[in-house]
Order: sequence, then structure tokens, then C-alpha cells
Amino acid sequence: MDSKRRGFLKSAAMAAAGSMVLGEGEFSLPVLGAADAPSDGDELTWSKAPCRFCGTGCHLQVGVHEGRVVAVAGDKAAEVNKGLLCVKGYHVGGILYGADRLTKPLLRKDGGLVEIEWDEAIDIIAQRIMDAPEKFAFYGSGQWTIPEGYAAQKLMKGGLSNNHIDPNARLCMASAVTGFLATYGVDEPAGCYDDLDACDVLITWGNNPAEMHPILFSRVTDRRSRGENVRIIDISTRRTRTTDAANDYLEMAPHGDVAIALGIMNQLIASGTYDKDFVEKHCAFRTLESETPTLQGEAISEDEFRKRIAAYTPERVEELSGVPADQIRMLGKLFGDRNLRITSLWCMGMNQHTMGTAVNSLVHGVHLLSGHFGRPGDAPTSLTGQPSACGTVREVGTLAHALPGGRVVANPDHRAQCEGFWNLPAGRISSTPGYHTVKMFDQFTKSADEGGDIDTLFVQVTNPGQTLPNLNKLFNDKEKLNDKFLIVSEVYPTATTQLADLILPAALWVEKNGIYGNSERRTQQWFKLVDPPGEARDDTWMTIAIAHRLLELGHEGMKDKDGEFIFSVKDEQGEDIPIWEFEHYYDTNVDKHLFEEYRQFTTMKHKNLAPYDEYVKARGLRWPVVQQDDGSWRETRFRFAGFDDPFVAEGEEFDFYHSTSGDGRAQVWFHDYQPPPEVPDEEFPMWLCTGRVLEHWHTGTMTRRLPQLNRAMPTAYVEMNLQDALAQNIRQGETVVIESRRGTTQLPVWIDGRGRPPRGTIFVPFFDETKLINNCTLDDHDPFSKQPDYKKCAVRVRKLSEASS
Amino acid sequence: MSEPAKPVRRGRLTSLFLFSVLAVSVIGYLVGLSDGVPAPDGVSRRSPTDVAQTSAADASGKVVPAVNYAEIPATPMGPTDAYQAKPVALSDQPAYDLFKQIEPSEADKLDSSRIRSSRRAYNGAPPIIPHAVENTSDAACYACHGGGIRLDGMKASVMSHAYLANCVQCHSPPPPTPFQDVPHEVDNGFVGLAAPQAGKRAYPGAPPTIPHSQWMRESCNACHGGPNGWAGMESTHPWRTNCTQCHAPSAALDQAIPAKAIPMLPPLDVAVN
Amino acid sequence: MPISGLVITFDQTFDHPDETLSRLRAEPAIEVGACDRRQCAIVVDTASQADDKKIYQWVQDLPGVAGIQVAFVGFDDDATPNSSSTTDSVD
Repeated sequence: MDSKRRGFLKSAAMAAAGSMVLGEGEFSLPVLGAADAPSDGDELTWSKAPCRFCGTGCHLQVGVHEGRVVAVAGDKAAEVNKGLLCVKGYHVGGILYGADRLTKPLLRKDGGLVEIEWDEAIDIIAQRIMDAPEKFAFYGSGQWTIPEGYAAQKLMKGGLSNNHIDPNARLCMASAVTGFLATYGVDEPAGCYDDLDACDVLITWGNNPAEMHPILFSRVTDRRSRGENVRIIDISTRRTRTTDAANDYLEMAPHGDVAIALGIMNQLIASGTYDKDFVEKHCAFRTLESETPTLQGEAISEDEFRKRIAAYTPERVEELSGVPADQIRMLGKLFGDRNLRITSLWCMGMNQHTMGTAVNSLVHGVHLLSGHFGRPGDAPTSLTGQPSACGTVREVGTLAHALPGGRVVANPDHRAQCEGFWNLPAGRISSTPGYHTVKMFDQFTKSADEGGDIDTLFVQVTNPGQTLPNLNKLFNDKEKLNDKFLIVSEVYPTATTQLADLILPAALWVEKNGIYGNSERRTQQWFKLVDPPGEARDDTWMTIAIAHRLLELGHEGMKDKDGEFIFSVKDEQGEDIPIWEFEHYYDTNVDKHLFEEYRQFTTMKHKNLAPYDEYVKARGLRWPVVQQDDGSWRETRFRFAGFDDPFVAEGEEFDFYHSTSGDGRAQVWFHDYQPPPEVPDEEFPMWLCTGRVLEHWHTGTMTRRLPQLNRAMPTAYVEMNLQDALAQNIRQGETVVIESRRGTTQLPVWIDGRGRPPRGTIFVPFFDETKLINNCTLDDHDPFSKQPDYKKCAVRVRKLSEASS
Repeated sequence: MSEPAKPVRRGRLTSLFLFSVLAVSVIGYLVGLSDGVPAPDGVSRRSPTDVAQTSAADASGKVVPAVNYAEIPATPMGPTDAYQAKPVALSDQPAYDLFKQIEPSEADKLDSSRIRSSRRAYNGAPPIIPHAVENTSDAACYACHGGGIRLDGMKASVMSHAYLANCVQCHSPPPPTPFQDVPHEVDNGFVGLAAPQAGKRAYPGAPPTIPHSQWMRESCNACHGGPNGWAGMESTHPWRTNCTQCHAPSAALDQAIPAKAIPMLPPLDVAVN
Repeated sequence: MPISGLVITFDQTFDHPDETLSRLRAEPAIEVGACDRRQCAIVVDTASQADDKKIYQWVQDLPGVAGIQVAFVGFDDDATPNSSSTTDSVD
């Protein structure tokens, strides 16, 4: 009898016996396929958790049976997704069970990796930090949970007096942050997803939500199925699935978005259809005048603004953007109509942009000038790509220049406040901003002789070996430098672990407690539901264990003013709970302790959070969450608007209470158009745009291990226009070489694929670790946000035979 | 002696040179051909004569057999019979008899279950798209899956949920045509929830409970009845339309009422003498 | 090579069913499935019918076991021709 047959008989026998125990008298059929899976959803334990992937922040119901995730359902109680998920969310359970999960700490010795114990791993890290604390850097991401990011932040800035901590969100939404700060003086969207249910017009600016934020996009298109009228206007450099659903498609040249926004403002002013009342009461004008430009810029008069914007006539904008002047007039008319509700959506297209801060501010300006702001459906809405880019990076401030709660290291009051909350001696926090991402990796991959002053780098929850731009300059050089030490906490082998000197196996998603903050200011909590495999452990634990080892080694920074460990958690008797020992880590809810400590920081910028236990009950709450007289906690859907925001005084219609001009006004910016840093020429004649596809998320380390998703998109590719392919004699599916001034990569061609680029443009998704398009991309970045431009650079496409000759 | 030999050798060299020129140009031409214009997808690579030969035996009359140039004058070249024929109507969908006696078979149910589970990561997951798909627009999906269809031995199953936009947002398609041969198998140990076998009956003959969530499966007829349901899972009484009148759903699986315990009044306080 | 699915009913007055359960779990021929205070499902996988009977008797004699019901018995030595397709796993 073969073992398969035996397994089948045993599962049938178990099903028969089990069904009798569970009160089901009749045995019908053997359980199909999985001998150890339960046969009925009622037998599972279902719990809530936000999805692991993008910034939308859908809530799931996770079905667990005997310590394993076996099913997932959309959470019907969740306002974000209303019971629906996308193909990634439905299959998210499988990310825990890829065959090559990392389960043991690995140390590189003589070129090979050897298994070591956790204790030794923590020792090595602590010793390297102890030897040169100022040469240590911490790199994380918007996939850090809020407590993970908060612990890392406290270790670095509060413990080590070292500001070299930055997240990969720098590569993702830093320009959105600077755009919000420049315009409103405070970060994050005023509106929320409810705008999508109310808008009459949806404008997607260089954005493809049909694939990247499908739940939000279908929230709009499903309204059409119900008979509502929503006009979708897609402004893009190539046709996508979003274009398929759009009423209008405006094809712009790269950087054309800047000109288009200016053109709309020109039309609003020229035709006098801007919202005079709103502008008079709530807006001021700004631009960059100084030799040394700052994010705040300089105030200008409305007349001065009119004078400058007059130059951006529809005809001039057509020249700059390629969008016909009539279409610019059409957009101007739409925004001039106050009866319509207009929502703008954008994500990487406007953020990964050397004019990222400028174009973000300009689009906010279009909405402010036209008064399409602050009513449900009237909103400039910036989306995020990572599950906690808002929660962990922007709110906890895990950036080289920031402190928790919207504070910055350069401000002495802010430093003093943080030292107060953390009970640290005055002067502990350094006033010099640390290295931002590009600079951090530049310093790490440069030898010490050449001034590379970062020698130990700890990477958590992200994959810079694949996502950094210009990899040959910023990452691959590490291989030759033996004195540099790369520590990577990961769940699977990645492009980053390839060069790692120490690999730490990490717990993933529902293998640990967590809190995420999504794109609409919603803070979402979940509990650990299953055990991590092997010796995989929580990232927060790693940070605390390293801190405690440093304390044992005598690092004074690991103590607060009273000599207590900075991560000390006490039990009811006032005794320290040894959370730095993993077997005691879950003796208490460390997430809750860290979150309650972090909450104190959030009120300064009116981003008030509720106590941890409120989030346990809810499917997330949108800050500011303010306690009501009856003791309940109320979330806020529309910030700055008197009808909803508790911080706008009674009777006021609007109040931008963090205004940079100090008078409650938002800033309408003027920026002159500037050409992209690199444009196609004879040698490199094509535009390269990079991005994502529906089925894969970020660098694909999780989604590429899911059979259903990998089947749908097994490889990265280069999307080409048919005419370009014909001109170069390139066939469907043929492997070609993409070359830029910085590097090359090989990819199969998809002519007129899922997206359809115009002539002279190619598109490549970055999820495939075997075909690294970031060898080719540019590390030029926005002057304020330091975010690189992944969306445009000059490349050429060559046939393999030509390239090898 | 050596003098007369020279022209001969020169002649040989010339012919060798000419030959190599010829060879290079022929090879170049062939390489050029093989490296030619992009081949569109889905077009047969067989040569036209192959097609003619195999089609000669084909009685459809749709293809005119190729002939020698010499035979052309004598060959009728007008419209073919197939071209002249009236368009053939698609076969009618089999008439559906609501009151047909249904005898559910366990073997059919097992077969149906096996097909269904081969397309899902776990019970409740949206099925992947098991067939080639060029057009992913909603209209294209609804054309067959809106009401289901049977054609040429194949069946398009019926959508079990309300109309939702952007079908491929949840149902993942097969690899794009140019990459269909790229290996995509991955080693993943996820074990999904298996499909339920049957609802629970309080006693033999009692209506079974609904063993799965109703959420996203609001249309019972999609699988359990109608002309395009699943063999072995059909209702024996499809004319009864208010299913939950007799078949109790699960509040937990439908995420209907969030309750940790079943709320009950305390037991009666009965004094014992 | 018999495989049998059995349901054990516990004596409700017995105080230590956990001990009995752990003895069941320790026996390599037995796989323990769904259990509650009242009943427990097990699968017995042995090399011969004699061994199967021995295990049955051994279970019967465990403290706290009130009775055993047979839910499933498989005796066959050879796979039926279509057996491999019956156990195709879901992907």
C-alpha cells in the first residue's frame, strides 16, 4: 500500500471518527486534499488583522486551526474594504509558509553562512555598536509596526544619541510628507477614503490604483455598477488598467504633472472661477525666492502669484506636458465648478520625482485655490505603498531628521520634550540630522579611507538590495568591503541577505503582535495568532535585546535619568519583566507598553491616539481620536473642517491650525517647471518608468512565494510599444538588455502588455529579484524630501546579440 | 612549369571566393528571415502547404486546397460552400427543467469538489482563472460568468456574488501569453481550509445547515441549482427560492454578530427541597 | 495493514482524562484527533489485524475509557486503481 493511499485512508478514518466526536452523525466524503485541515469553517478560530501588504489597510478575518493559518476572509466590519479583498489579501496566509523561511541566525564566516545561537548574534551586534556607536546605522521601513519603529527610534536617538536611522519610506512617500508640511504645516491627508464614496470626479495623477490600490479603486467603480455617475480622469505616462476604466485619458510627458497643475491654476485665475471666498479666508501664497531654499519658502502676494501663474497658459503647458491645451482648459473648467466634488489620487508617480515636493504642493494648491477642499468628496488624497508608512514612519518619525509626534531633532524644544517623555538627561538627543537613505548607503558602501563613516548597518523589515536606486553605486560595492558589517533581519533569503554578514530570522505578520497606520490616518492593531517557525523572533524583541546587551556592556545611554533600563517594563510588584529574554517576551504585551508610552508624543501635532485597548475593539480608528464627555473615543474623518475636526473652534468653517504662516491659513505654492534631471538623447533614447503589478507587492519576497500569485505573474518584463519593437526588430517574449549610464539588466519583452506605453517609453516592474531594474535607475532626488526619481531616466534597449558584441 | 599553374589556381581562388560570398549572403538572408518581423501571438507557425494538406482531408469545405500553377485555370476558385452557407446558429442551451428529478450522486459531488478545490488556495478563496484569458475587462468576464453557459462540453460557472468591478482584482489570471512557459511553481507549505462536505443535520431528513459563509456566496443557485450549477451539489428542490428559510447559516462565518459567547439568561434558580 | 478510526467515550466520573490522553498520544500506532471532555477521535494504524486488536484491547483497558465505537475500518492491502487520483492534493 503506497503512502499516499495510506495517508488518504488515515485522513478518512480521522474524518469519520472526528465527525462523530463533533456531533455530526453522518460521514459523507473524505476531506479533500489536506489530511490535517479541518473540514468546516466553524471549527476555526477567526481573528481580525490588517493585511500585510499595501498602505490601503484592509482588514481581514484570519482563520486559524491548530496553530496554522488556513483561511482568510474580508472583514465585513471594516470600513476600509467592507468585506472585500484583492488577490494578494486573499492569499496573504501563504506568506508564512514558504519552504525557505529563515529559522536560525546565520553568520558569514570565510564567505559561507553558518548557524549560530541567538545569544551569540545579539553579542556580535552589541559589541560592534559598543566599539563604534557613531558608525552604526539602522535602516527600517514602513513595514515596521508602530512599536517596532518606536523601539528602534528610542534605541538610536534616545539611547545611542545617534540619528542615523532612516526607513525605505524615504524612497516611497517622503515627497508626500514635504508636500503636506509645505502646504499645511503638518503631515498627512486631511480627507479620508470616505471621499471616494462621495466624489463626482476622480483624478488619478500618475497613479494606477486599479492595480496598486485595487480595493480603493473598486470602491469607486462599484459605485458605477450601482448606477452612480463618477467621471474618472487618468493623467499618466502610459495606459494602464486604470485607463481602461477612465472616461478621459490625458497622456503626459514625464514631469508633465507639474505643468498640468500650473495650467489648471492659470485657468482658475484667468477665468476668475477660483474660490475667492475660500482663498481670502483660508489661504496665503508662497514660493521659493531665497538663494538657500527652505521647505517653508517665502510669502508672496496674491498679485505676485497671479503674475507668475500667468505664464502657464494652456498652450505653454501643452508644450511642456504634451497634454493638449483644450484638455487643460477642460480641467480648469472642472475645478472651476464648485458644484462638483473632485478627489485627486496620487502615489509614487508624484512622490518619486525630482520635483516631488513641488508637484505635491501644486496639486494641493489646485484644490485649495478652487475650494475643492474639506467637503466629503473634495480632497487631495495621497496614498501610501506600505502598510505603516504613515503610522510608523511619518507619525513615529523614524527618519534621520525626525522625532516622534511630528518633532524634529534640529528643534531644541522638541528634543527637550522627547528627553522629558523618555526621562533622559538633558542633551542626550543629538541635534544633527543623521544620514538619509541614499546618503546612508553611500557612506556604508564607501571604504573608511574614502570617508565612508558607517561601518555597521542593521536592516529590518525591508530589502534595500533590490529597492535602492542605482544599486551598483549604493549597494553592490559592499561586497568588496570586509570591514563593513551588514545585519539583516528577514523572513526569506533576499537580494539583501546575499551580502549580509549576519542574518536574523524574523517573525512575520500574525506571528507577532502589531499595530499599523494606513493612508487615511487609521491606526490598526492585531494580536499574535500563530507561532513563528523555528527560532524566528520579533523585530521589537531584537531591538530590546540589543539594547539590554549594550546595558550589560556598560553603555550609559541604555539608562534613563534614574538609572533604569530605557525599555524597562515592570510587573505589578514593580519588578522588571525580563522582556529581553525571548522566553519572557510574551509574559506581557510589549506592544501595549510601547504604544502607551508613544501616545504621549502625539498630541502636539493634534494627531491624538486613543489607548491601546480602544484599538483592540475597533477595526482601526482615524486620528485625531479624542475622548468625548461620555468617556467614549471619537475618530476624525475630515481634518481642518469645522463640521468634523474637534480642534477647529466652534463656528469656524476651516482652520489650518498648524499653518506655517501662523494665521490658520494653508499655503498655495508657486513653483516654476523644471525639466527632469536626465532626458533621453541619441545615446539613450528611451524613457524608463518603473513600478508594480497587481499580483506582486514591493520586492516580491512574500508574493513570489504564493503559488496563485506567482502563476499569474511569474517574471518581471519590459513593456514596449509595438512600433518601438518593430523598429528594433524585437519580438514578443524575446530577452533584451536594458542599459542606462549606470547599469544594465536583462528582461523579456511584453509588447503592448498589461500597460501600453507610448512610443519612446518602456515600463519595468521592480518585484523580480532575478532581474534588477534598479541597476539602471537614477539616484537623483528631490532637494527637500531626498526621495529619488524611479519613474524616469534615459535608457536604451538592445537585442542580446547586439549587447554582447 | 609553375607559370601555367598560376591562372588555374587563381581561377580556383576566385570560385572559392565567390562561393564563400554566396554562402555568406545565403546564410545572412536566412538569418535575416529567421530574425524577421515580430510574430503576432496565436498565429499558426505551420506553412500554408501544411495547412492545405491537412485541410484537404477536412470535410468542412472552409479551405480551398492549394494546386499547381498549371492546374489553376481548371480549378474553381469561387466562394467556398462554407462561405456561402448561412451563418450557423450556436446550439441552443439545453432546456432547463426546474422540476426534473435530481438524484445527487456522491461520485459527482467528489468530482465537482475536486475541480473546485484545485482552483482555490482554501475554501472561501476566490478561484483563480483556470483558462487562457486575453480580455480582462468586466464585460468579457460577465459575458459567460454572469449567468453561466454550457458549450462544446465545457461549462462556465455562475458568479456566486453580486456584480463587482475589476474581476482580476480578486481572480488571478494565468501567466501572460509571452511568459506562459516561464516556470512559476513555488514551494509553499500553506495548507488551506478544505471544502465543507455537508451541512449538519439535526436528524436524518432534517434540512442541513449551511456549512460555509454566505458572504460572497449570496447566490445559492450559482452552485446548488439552476442549469449551470455543480454536479452532485444541486438542490433537489430548486423551485424553492428562500433557501435560508430552512437552511440555517452560520452567524460566525458570516461575521454577522460579533459575540465571544452565546448570550443567555442565567439558569433558573430552582430551590431543591 | 488495517487502519481504523475509533471514537473513545470517557467515563464522566473519571478525574484525569488528560493522563489517559497523553498515554494515547505517546503510543506511536495511534494518532489523536478531535477531542472534548466526553469523547475523543483516534486513528489506529498497525501492521496486522492482530496488532490492531491488541491496540483496541489496550485502549479499552486504559483508565477512564468507558467505551469505544468504530467509525471507520480499512483492511485492504492494495490500492484500488483510481486511488492515487483520489488523494490529489489541492494546490
